Amino acid sequence: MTDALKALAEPVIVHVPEKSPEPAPAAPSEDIELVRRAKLGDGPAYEGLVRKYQERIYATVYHMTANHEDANDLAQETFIKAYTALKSFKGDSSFYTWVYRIAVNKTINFLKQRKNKAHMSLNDIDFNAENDPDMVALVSDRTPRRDVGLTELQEKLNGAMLKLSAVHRLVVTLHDVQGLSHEEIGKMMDCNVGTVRSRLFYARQQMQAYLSDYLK
Amino acid sequence: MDENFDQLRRLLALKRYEAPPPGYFHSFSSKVMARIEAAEVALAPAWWQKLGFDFNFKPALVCGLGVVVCGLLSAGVLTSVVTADQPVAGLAMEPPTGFAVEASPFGEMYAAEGAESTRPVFSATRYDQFGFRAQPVSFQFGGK
Repeated sequence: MTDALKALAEPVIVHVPEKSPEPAPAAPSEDIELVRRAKLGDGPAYEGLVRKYQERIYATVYHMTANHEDANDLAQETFIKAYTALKSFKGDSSFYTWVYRIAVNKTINFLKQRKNKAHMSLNDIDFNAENDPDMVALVSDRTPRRDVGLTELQEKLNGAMLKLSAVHRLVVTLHDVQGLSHEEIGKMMDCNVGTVRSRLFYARQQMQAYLSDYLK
Repeated sequence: MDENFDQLRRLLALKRYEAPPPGYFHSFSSKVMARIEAAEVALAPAWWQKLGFDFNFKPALVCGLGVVVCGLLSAGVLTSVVTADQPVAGLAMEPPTGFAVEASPFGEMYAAEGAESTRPVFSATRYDQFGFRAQPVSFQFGGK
Protein backbone atom coordinates (compact mmCIF):
# COMPACT_ATOMS: atom_id res chain seq x y z
CA MET A 1 0.00 0.00 0.00
CA THR A 2 1.20 3.49 -0.77
CA ASP A 3 1.94 6.09 1.89
CA ALA A 4 -0.82 8.23 0.51
CA LEU A 5 -3.29 5.47 1.10
CA LYS A 6 -2.04 4.94 4.63
CA ALA A 7 -2.47 8.60 5.30
CA LEU A 8 -5.98 8.45 4.00
CA ALA A 9 -6.69 5.44 6.14
CA GLU A 10 -6.68 7.35 9.42
CA PRO A 11 -9.62 9.74 9.08
CA VAL A 12 -11.93 7.15 7.61
CA ILE A 13 -15.52 8.18 7.34
CA VAL A 14 -17.66 5.17 6.73
CA HIS A 15 -19.84 5.96 3.80
CA VAL A 16 -22.18 3.37 2.38
CA PRO A 17 -23.86 4.74 -0.71
CA GLU A 18 -27.49 3.74 -0.97
CA LYS A 19 -27.54 4.26 -4.69
CA SER A 20 -25.22 3.11 -7.38
CA PRO A 21 -22.72 5.66 -8.66
CA GLU A 22 -23.91 4.73 -12.11
CA PRO A 23 -26.20 7.13 -13.94
CA ALA A 24 -29.86 7.07 -13.09
CA PRO A 25 -32.26 5.36 -15.47
CA ALA A 26 -32.94 7.38 -18.56
CA ALA A 27 -36.06 9.41 -19.07
CA PRO A 28 -38.81 6.99 -20.15
CA SER A 29 -40.13 9.36 -22.81
CA GLU A 30 -36.81 9.28 -24.60
CA ASP A 31 -36.81 5.50 -24.42
CA ILE A 32 -40.37 5.30 -25.71
CA GLU A 33 -39.43 7.27 -28.80
CA LEU A 34 -36.32 5.16 -29.40
CA VAL A 35 -38.31 1.96 -28.94
CA ARG A 36 -40.99 3.19 -31.34
CA ARG A 37 -38.39 3.91 -34.00
CA ALA A 38 -36.56 0.65 -33.36
CA LYS A 39 -39.81 -1.26 -33.83
CA LEU A 40 -40.07 0.29 -37.28
CA GLY A 41 -36.63 -1.07 -38.12
CA ASP A 42 -34.55 1.98 -37.25
CA GLY A 43 -31.18 0.38 -36.44
CA PRO A 44 -29.47 3.52 -35.11
CA ALA A 45 -32.36 4.07 -32.68
CA TYR A 46 -31.89 0.60 -31.24
CA GLU A 47 -28.15 1.11 -31.13
CA GLY A 48 -28.87 4.20 -29.03
CA LEU A 49 -30.78 2.07 -26.54
CA VAL A 50 -27.92 -0.45 -26.46
CA ARG A 51 -25.39 2.28 -25.76
CA LYS A 52 -27.56 3.68 -23.01
CA TYR A 53 -27.89 0.43 -21.05
CA GLN A 54 -24.89 -1.63 -22.10
CA GLU A 55 -22.78 -0.85 -19.05
CA ARG A 56 -25.47 -1.65 -16.51
CA ILE A 57 -26.51 -4.84 -18.26
CA TYR A 58 -22.93 -5.97 -18.65
CA ALA A 59 -22.17 -5.17 -15.00
CA THR A 60 -25.15 -7.15 -13.73
CA VAL A 61 -24.24 -10.20 -15.77
CA TYR A 62 -20.58 -9.88 -14.88
CA HIS A 63 -21.26 -9.71 -11.14
CA MET A 64 -23.47 -12.77 -11.48
CA THR A 65 -20.99 -14.87 -13.46
CA ALA A 66 -17.64 -13.48 -12.25
CA ASN A 67 -16.41 -14.10 -15.77
CA HIS A 68 -15.76 -11.40 -18.36
CA GLU A 69 -16.13 -13.64 -21.42
CA ASP A 70 -19.42 -15.10 -20.25
CA ALA A 71 -20.67 -11.64 -19.35
CA ASN A 72 -19.71 -10.35 -22.79
CA ASP A 73 -21.63 -13.15 -24.54
CA LEU A 74 -24.67 -12.92 -22.30
CA ALA A 75 -24.87 -9.14 -22.49
CA GLN A 76 -24.72 -9.22 -26.28
CA GLU A 77 -27.29 -12.02 -26.44
CA THR A 78 -29.55 -10.02 -24.12
CA PHE A 79 -29.68 -7.10 -26.54
CA ILE A 80 -30.12 -9.41 -29.53
CA LYS A 81 -32.98 -11.19 -27.80
CA ALA A 82 -34.51 -7.85 -26.84
CA TYR A 83 -34.34 -6.71 -30.46
CA THR A 84 -36.06 -9.82 -31.79
CA ALA A 85 -38.72 -9.59 -29.07
CA LEU A 86 -39.18 -5.85 -29.40
CA LYS A 87 -42.51 -6.24 -31.19
CA SER A 88 -43.90 -7.99 -28.12
CA PHE A 89 -42.83 -5.12 -25.85
CA LYS A 90 -46.07 -3.35 -24.96
CA GLY A 91 -44.58 -0.68 -22.75
CA ASP A 92 -46.22 -1.92 -19.54
CA SER A 93 -42.87 -1.43 -17.85
CA SER A 94 -39.94 0.73 -18.86
CA PHE A 95 -37.61 -0.56 -21.55
CA TYR A 96 -34.89 -0.53 -18.92
CA THR A 97 -36.80 -2.89 -16.61
CA TRP A 98 -37.82 -5.09 -19.53
CA VAL A 99 -34.31 -5.53 -20.91
CA TYR A 100 -32.97 -6.05 -17.39
CA ARG A 101 -35.46 -8.87 -16.93
CA ILE A 102 -34.24 -10.51 -20.13
CA ALA A 103 -30.66 -10.27 -18.91
CA VAL A 104 -31.55 -11.70 -15.52
CA ASN A 105 -33.46 -14.64 -17.00
CA LYS A 106 -30.71 -15.38 -19.47
CA THR A 107 -28.07 -15.26 -16.77
CA ILE A 108 -29.99 -17.49 -14.37
CA ASN A 109 -30.57 -20.05 -17.13
CA PHE A 110 -26.89 -19.90 -17.99
CA LEU A 111 -25.88 -20.44 -14.36
CA LYS A 112 -28.24 -23.41 -14.07
CA GLN A 113 -26.57 -25.03 -17.06
CA ARG A 114 -23.10 -24.20 -15.83
CA LYS A 115 -23.89 -25.42 -12.30
CA ASN A 116 -20.67 -25.77 -10.34
CA LYS A 117 -18.30 -25.37 -13.25
CA ALA A 118 -17.66 -21.77 -12.36
CA HIS A 119 -14.44 -20.35 -13.70
CA MET A 120 -13.57 -16.85 -12.61
CA SER A 121 -12.21 -14.43 -15.16
CA LEU A 122 -12.21 -11.21 -13.24
CA ASN A 123 -11.84 -7.74 -14.61
CA ASP A 124 -9.13 -5.52 -13.26
CA ILE A 125 -10.00 -3.15 -10.48
CA ASP A 126 -10.13 0.44 -11.55
CA PHE A 127 -7.27 2.45 -10.06
CA ASN A 128 -9.82 4.86 -8.60
CA ALA A 129 -10.62 2.18 -6.05
CA GLU A 130 -7.49 3.12 -4.14
CA ASN A 131 -8.94 6.57 -3.57
CA ASP A 132 -12.28 5.34 -2.36
CA PRO A 133 -12.54 5.92 1.41
CA ASP A 134 -14.33 2.62 1.88
CA MET A 135 -11.59 0.74 0.09
CA VAL A 136 -8.98 2.53 2.08
CA ALA A 137 -10.79 1.53 5.24
CA LEU A 138 -10.92 -2.07 4.16
CA VAL A 139 -7.34 -2.34 3.01
CA SER A 140 -5.66 -0.61 5.88
CA ASP A 141 -3.60 -1.42 8.92
CA ARG A 142 -6.82 -1.84 10.83
CA THR A 143 -8.03 -4.64 8.59
CA PRO A 144 -7.95 -7.98 10.42
CA ARG A 145 -6.06 -9.61 7.54
CA ARG A 146 -3.18 -7.16 7.25
CA ASP A 147 -1.55 -8.86 4.31
CA VAL A 148 -4.58 -8.69 2.13
CA GLY A 149 -4.46 -6.67 -1.06
CA LEU A 150 -7.21 -5.44 -3.28
CA THR A 151 -6.74 -8.25 -5.79
CA GLU A 152 -6.93 -10.95 -3.16
CA LEU A 153 -9.92 -9.28 -1.61
CA GLN A 154 -11.55 -9.19 -5.01
CA GLU A 155 -10.99 -12.92 -5.52
CA LYS A 156 -12.33 -13.81 -2.08
CA LEU A 157 -15.33 -11.58 -2.57
CA ASN A 158 -16.21 -13.09 -5.95
CA GLY A 159 -15.60 -16.58 -4.60
CA ALA A 160 -18.06 -15.91 -1.79
CA MET A 161 -20.59 -14.52 -4.27
CA LEU A 162 -20.36 -17.69 -6.34
CA LYS A 163 -21.26 -19.76 -3.29
CA LEU A 164 -24.66 -18.09 -3.16
CA SER A 165 -27.58 -19.42 -5.13
CA ALA A 166 -28.40 -17.57 -8.33
CA VAL A 167 -31.39 -15.67 -6.92
CA HIS A 168 -29.54 -14.63 -3.76
CA ARG A 169 -26.55 -13.55 -5.78
CA LEU A 170 -28.83 -11.55 -8.01
CA VAL A 171 -30.40 -9.68 -5.12
CA VAL A 172 -27.01 -8.83 -3.66
CA THR A 173 -25.75 -7.73 -7.06
CA LEU A 174 -28.71 -5.53 -7.85
CA HIS A 175 -29.00 -3.96 -4.40
CA ASP A 176 -25.57 -3.83 -2.80
CA VAL A 177 -23.44 -3.56 -5.91
CA GLN A 178 -25.64 -1.72 -8.37
CA GLY A 179 -27.73 0.23 -5.91
CA LEU A 180 -31.20 -0.60 -7.18
CA SER A 181 -34.15 -0.18 -4.83
CA HIS A 182 -36.12 -3.10 -3.41
CA GLU A 183 -39.09 -2.07 -5.55
CA GLU A 184 -37.08 -2.08 -8.77
CA ILE A 185 -35.61 -5.47 -7.93
CA GLY A 186 -39.09 -6.79 -7.18
CA LYS A 187 -40.26 -5.73 -10.64
CA MET A 188 -37.28 -7.32 -12.31
CA MET A 189 -37.53 -10.57 -10.41
CA ASP A 190 -41.32 -10.62 -10.52
CA CYS A 191 -41.70 -10.91 -6.76
CA ASN A 192 -42.82 -8.62 -3.93
CA VAL A 193 -40.65 -6.34 -1.86
CA GLY A 194 -40.86 -8.59 1.21
CA THR A 195 -39.37 -11.46 -0.72
CA VAL A 196 -36.59 -9.21 -1.97
CA ARG A 197 -35.80 -8.08 1.59
CA SER A 198 -35.77 -11.59 3.02
CA ARG A 199 -33.57 -12.88 0.21
CA LEU A 200 -31.20 -9.97 0.71
CA PHE A 201 -30.97 -10.58 4.45
CA TYR A 202 -30.28 -14.29 3.97
CA ALA A 203 -27.70 -13.63 1.24
CA ARG A 204 -25.88 -11.07 3.38
CA GLN A 205 -25.78 -13.49 6.30
CA GLN A 206 -24.24 -16.13 4.07
CA MET A 207 -21.72 -13.69 2.64
CA GLN A 208 -20.76 -12.44 6.09
CA ALA A 209 -20.08 -15.98 7.19
CA TYR A 210 -17.98 -16.76 4.11
CA LEU A 211 -15.96 -13.57 4.48
CA SER A 212 -15.64 -13.48 8.26
CA ASP A 213 -11.84 -13.46 8.01
CA TYR A 214 -11.93 -10.26 6.03
CA LEU A 215 -14.50 -8.37 8.05
CA LYS A 216 -13.94 -6.73 11.40
CA MET B 1 -22.64 -10.48 14.09
CA ASP B 2 -23.17 -7.17 12.32
CA GLU B 3 -26.87 -7.09 11.53
CA ASN B 4 -26.48 -3.90 9.52
CA PHE B 5 -23.86 -5.55 7.32
CA ASP B 6 -21.95 -2.26 7.02
CA GLN B 7 -18.58 -3.94 6.55
CA LEU B 8 -19.98 -6.36 4.04
CA ARG B 9 -21.67 -3.62 2.06
CA ARG B 10 -18.45 -1.67 1.92
CA LEU B 11 -16.66 -4.77 0.74
CA LEU B 12 -19.29 -5.40 -1.90
CA ALA B 13 -18.84 -1.86 -3.13
CA LEU B 14 -15.40 -2.96 -4.26
CA LYS B 15 -17.06 -4.79 -7.09
CA ARG B 16 -18.11 -1.50 -8.64
CA TYR B 17 -14.48 -0.90 -9.47
CA GLU B 18 -14.15 -4.09 -11.47
CA ALA B 19 -14.13 -2.73 -14.98
CA PRO B 20 -13.77 -4.44 -18.35
CA PRO B 21 -10.73 -3.67 -20.52
CA PRO B 22 -10.45 -0.01 -21.62
CA GLY B 23 -12.45 0.73 -24.74
CA TYR B 24 -14.60 -2.34 -24.31
CA PHE B 25 -17.87 -0.42 -24.43
CA HIS B 26 -16.84 1.69 -27.42
CA SER B 27 -17.35 -1.23 -29.75
CA PHE B 28 -20.00 -3.11 -27.79
CA SER B 29 -23.08 -1.62 -29.46
CA SER B 30 -21.64 -1.98 -32.96
CA LYS B 31 -20.88 -5.65 -32.25
CA VAL B 32 -24.45 -6.18 -31.11
CA MET B 33 -25.82 -4.49 -34.24
CA ALA B 34 -23.48 -6.52 -36.47
CA ARG B 35 -24.75 -9.75 -34.88
CA ILE B 36 -28.36 -8.63 -35.31
CA GLU B 37 -27.79 -7.85 -38.99
CA ALA B 38 -25.98 -11.16 -39.54
CA ALA B 39 -28.86 -13.03 -37.91
CA GLU B 40 -31.38 -11.19 -40.08
CA VAL B 41 -29.48 -12.10 -43.24
CA ALA B 42 -29.25 -15.73 -42.15
CA LEU B 43 -32.97 -15.80 -41.37
CA ALA B 44 -34.04 -14.01 -44.56
CA PRO B 45 -36.64 -16.21 -46.29
CA ALA B 46 -35.71 -17.98 -49.53
CA TRP B 47 -37.92 -17.56 -52.61
CA TRP B 48 -39.92 -20.71 -51.89
CA GLN B 49 -40.50 -19.55 -48.34
CA LYS B 50 -41.82 -16.22 -49.62
CA LEU B 51 -44.31 -18.22 -51.70
CA GLY B 52 -45.51 -19.97 -48.58
CA PHE B 53 -43.67 -23.25 -49.06
CA ASP B 54 -41.81 -23.12 -45.83
CA PHE B 55 -41.53 -26.82 -45.20
CA ASN B 56 -39.51 -26.46 -42.05
CA PHE B 57 -42.25 -24.59 -40.30
CA LYS B 58 -45.37 -26.10 -41.94
CA PRO B 59 -45.31 -29.86 -41.48
CA ALA B 60 -49.06 -30.00 -42.14
CA LEU B 61 -48.47 -28.60 -45.61
CA VAL B 62 -45.80 -31.21 -46.30
CA CYS B 63 -48.08 -34.02 -45.12
CA GLY B 64 -50.97 -32.65 -47.16
CA LEU B 65 -48.83 -32.46 -50.27
CA GLY B 66 -47.70 -36.06 -49.74
CA VAL B 67 -51.27 -37.25 -49.34
CA VAL B 68 -52.35 -35.42 -52.51
CA VAL B 69 -49.47 -36.88 -54.54
CA CYS B 70 -50.17 -40.41 -53.26
CA GLY B 71 -53.89 -39.97 -53.94
CA LEU B 72 -53.30 -38.81 -57.49
CA LEU B 73 -50.92 -41.70 -58.11
CA SER B 74 -53.38 -44.25 -56.72
CA ALA B 75 -56.24 -42.74 -58.71
CA GLY B 76 -54.14 -42.91 -61.86
CA VAL B 77 -53.26 -46.57 -61.30
CA LEU B 78 -56.88 -47.54 -60.53
CA THR B 79 -58.20 -45.67 -63.54
CA SER B 80 -55.74 -47.36 -65.85
CA VAL B 81 -56.64 -50.84 -64.50
CA VAL B 82 -60.40 -50.25 -64.86
CA THR B 83 -59.96 -48.86 -68.35
CA ALA B 84 -57.90 -51.86 -69.44
CA ASP B 85 -60.62 -54.28 -68.26
CA GLN B 86 -63.52 -52.53 -69.99
CA PRO B 87 -63.94 -52.67 -73.78
CA VAL B 88 -63.85 -49.25 -75.25
CA ALA B 89 -66.56 -48.45 -77.75
CA GLY B 90 -65.18 -48.63 -81.27
CA LEU B 91 -62.11 -50.49 -80.16
CA ALA B 92 -63.80 -53.78 -79.15
CA MET B 93 -62.16 -56.70 -80.80
CA GLU B 94 -64.43 -59.68 -80.75
CA PRO B 95 -62.67 -62.91 -81.14
CA PRO B 96 -63.19 -64.21 -84.66
CA THR B 97 -65.20 -67.32 -85.01
CA GLY B 98 -63.17 -70.28 -86.07
CA PHE B 99 -59.97 -68.91 -84.73
CA ALA B 100 -57.94 -71.77 -85.91
CA VAL B 101 -58.30 -70.79 -89.47
CA GLU B 102 -55.94 -71.21 -92.17
CA ALA B 103 -53.95 -68.36 -93.44
CA SER B 104 -53.59 -64.96 -91.72
CA PRO B 105 -56.31 -64.47 -89.08
CA PHE B 106 -55.69 -60.77 -88.70
CA GLY B 107 -55.76 -60.13 -92.34
CA GLU B 108 -59.12 -61.80 -92.75
CA MET B 109 -60.63 -60.31 -89.66
CA TYR B 110 -59.89 -56.72 -90.53
CA ALA B 111 -60.56 -57.13 -94.14
CA ALA B 112 -64.12 -58.11 -93.21
CA GLU B 113 -64.69 -54.88 -91.32
CA GLY B 114 -64.87 -52.80 -94.42
CA ALA B 115 -63.46 -49.42 -95.20
CA GLU B 116 -65.74 -47.62 -92.74
CA SER B 117 -64.30 -49.34 -89.66
CA THR B 118 -62.71 -47.17 -87.03
CA ARG B 119 -60.84 -50.08 -85.54
CA PRO B 120 -57.12 -49.84 -85.78
CA VAL B 121 -55.89 -51.69 -88.76
CA PHE B 122 -52.98 -53.93 -88.12
CA SER B 123 -50.88 -54.66 -91.02
CA ALA B 124 -51.21 -58.31 -91.92
CA THR B 125 -47.72 -58.37 -93.17
CA ARG B 126 -46.42 -57.06 -89.91
CA TYR B 127 -47.54 -60.16 -88.05
CA ASP B 128 -47.29 -62.47 -90.94
CA GLN B 129 -43.89 -61.71 -92.20
CA PHE B 130 -42.59 -65.13 -91.23
CA GLY B 131 -45.53 -66.90 -92.88
CA PHE B 132 -46.86 -68.52 -89.71
CA ARG B 133 -49.93 -70.61 -90.22
CA ALA B 134 -52.28 -72.11 -87.65
CA GLN B 135 -52.86 -75.78 -88.28
CA PRO B 136 -55.27 -78.07 -86.44
CA VAL B 137 -53.32 -80.55 -84.44
CA SER B 138 -54.13 -83.39 -82.12
CA PHE B 139 -52.03 -85.01 -79.52
CA GLN B 140 -52.44 -87.05 -76.42
CA PHE B 141 -50.71 -86.78 -73.06
CA GLY B 142 -48.84 -89.80 -71.83
CA GLY B 143 -47.48 -90.75 -75.21
CA LYS B 144 -50.37 -93.00 -76.04
